[in-house]
Amino acid sequence: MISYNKLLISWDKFFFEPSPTVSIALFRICWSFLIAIYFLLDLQNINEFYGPHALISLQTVKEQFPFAHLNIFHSFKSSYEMVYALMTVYGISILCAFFGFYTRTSLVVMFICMTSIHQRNIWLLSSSELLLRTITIYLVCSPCGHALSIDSLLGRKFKSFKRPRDWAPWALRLIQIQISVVYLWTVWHKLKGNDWFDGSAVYYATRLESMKSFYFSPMLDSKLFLKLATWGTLVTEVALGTLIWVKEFRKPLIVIGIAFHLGIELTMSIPFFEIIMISLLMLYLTPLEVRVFSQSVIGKLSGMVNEVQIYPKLKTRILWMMRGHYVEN
Amino acid sequence: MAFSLDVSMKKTHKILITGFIFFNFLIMARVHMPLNEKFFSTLYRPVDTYLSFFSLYQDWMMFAPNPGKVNIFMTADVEFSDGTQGTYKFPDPTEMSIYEKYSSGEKFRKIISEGIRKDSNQFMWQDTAKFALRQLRSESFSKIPIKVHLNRHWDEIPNIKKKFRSHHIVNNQYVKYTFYTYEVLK
Repeated sequence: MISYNKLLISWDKFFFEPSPTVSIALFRICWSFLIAIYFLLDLQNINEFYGPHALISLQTVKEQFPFAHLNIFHSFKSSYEMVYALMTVYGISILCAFFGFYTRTSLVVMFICMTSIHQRNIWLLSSSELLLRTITIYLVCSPCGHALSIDSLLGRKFKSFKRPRDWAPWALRLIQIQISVVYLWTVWHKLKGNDWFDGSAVYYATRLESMKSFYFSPMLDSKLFLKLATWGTLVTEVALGTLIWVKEFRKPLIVIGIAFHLGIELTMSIPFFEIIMISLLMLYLTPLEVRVFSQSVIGKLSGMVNEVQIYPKLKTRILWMMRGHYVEN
Repeated sequence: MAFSLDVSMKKTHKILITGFIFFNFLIMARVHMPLNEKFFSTLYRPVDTYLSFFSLYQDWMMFAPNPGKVNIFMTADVEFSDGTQGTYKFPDPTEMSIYEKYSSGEKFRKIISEGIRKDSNQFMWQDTAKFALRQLRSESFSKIPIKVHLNRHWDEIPNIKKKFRSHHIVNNQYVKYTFYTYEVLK
């Protein structure tokens, strides 16, 4: 039996043993990039969903949600000026989060704007938006600005920006646990229905016209394939929620997970969800694996910059910024 | 230089963070908790305040317990004072490109198939009728609208055991039902 002390030590090691912040920093860049794409596409929806002539009026939203909740829209009169102002702040905060400039503040502002926009018309939202909010709040708590950021560069010159490159990974661990929860809970709910048991769920899901993406008729018309895909989904989701924590299975499962989500993305159109899940799976890579990957990308980019004919001082500066993180380590 | 900073954490910080970690475990586990029992309802009171403030309730019911079995779209018929009629079809992801699906298609799918069409969401219907009216305004600017009828059109995916529908087949025969009429001048 595991003693209380051993349990405490394991807990401490799992959540608090300092580890390089490069993985969570790289994830911050990916995450902000994803949110930036979502934001740019959402700019086209101001008239339909967020402005004073939106599908659901602000008055109706206020009546339906009389309790305290984070929504800047409620503090102002419904107008296009207000929406554009909010979108501008949101855009700037995404940009700052991407480059890691005043990272934590940027992420907090980004989260406030995102949640307000989401709560302006909550009936539009799916699991993708819930994941965006849930993970962003964890990211706020993480040391994601300690590396690969303007903040970390400023830390070389200004004491107030100085942050340790190694830090307790508890926020990263929470995100990883959250990912497992997403997979396990969905399987739990699926097992309450009949279609996942009798192997017909993928048949019905792929016949929803609004979710059709590309046609893979020969495959999706085979009853045997539909059954295998249904049961395979359950098995994959259970494995991604549990076995991914086992060292030996981690890497193969990340590859299987990516293939699984890409497969869904190709056959069904569920905007952003699959891409979000793929980016989240990357968080299971160890900091060392991320570092090797980053170094190879930065090495290639540095080579490209080296070949470009630009002002030598500027070239040196760019190369210093790109390699900066590794010089110190 | 960077490693000269102290990376160890104070005990009080660890205790506070551990509390936050447990708080998040409660959030993740909420969907499986017997919240009608007094102990759990008391325990979850602060959690629920936090969740509703940031809208962070988690259920993760993607295609669960069963996938949807109905294809649906919505139209609005507008009656004008001169006896003519105009029809507005709400944006339908079925007719959209992948780019459009990503920008607005999924949002329209969600609000139409899981929001407006349901009788439990009657509070959305007047706003929806007014929205349809505004969309038709450009092509019928000089006309006076009298009534707006909201219609849902649906097609049930046949049972796999009774009638297998091929993946490439698009059914064009939808059932139509008018579920709300908005009287503009009332």
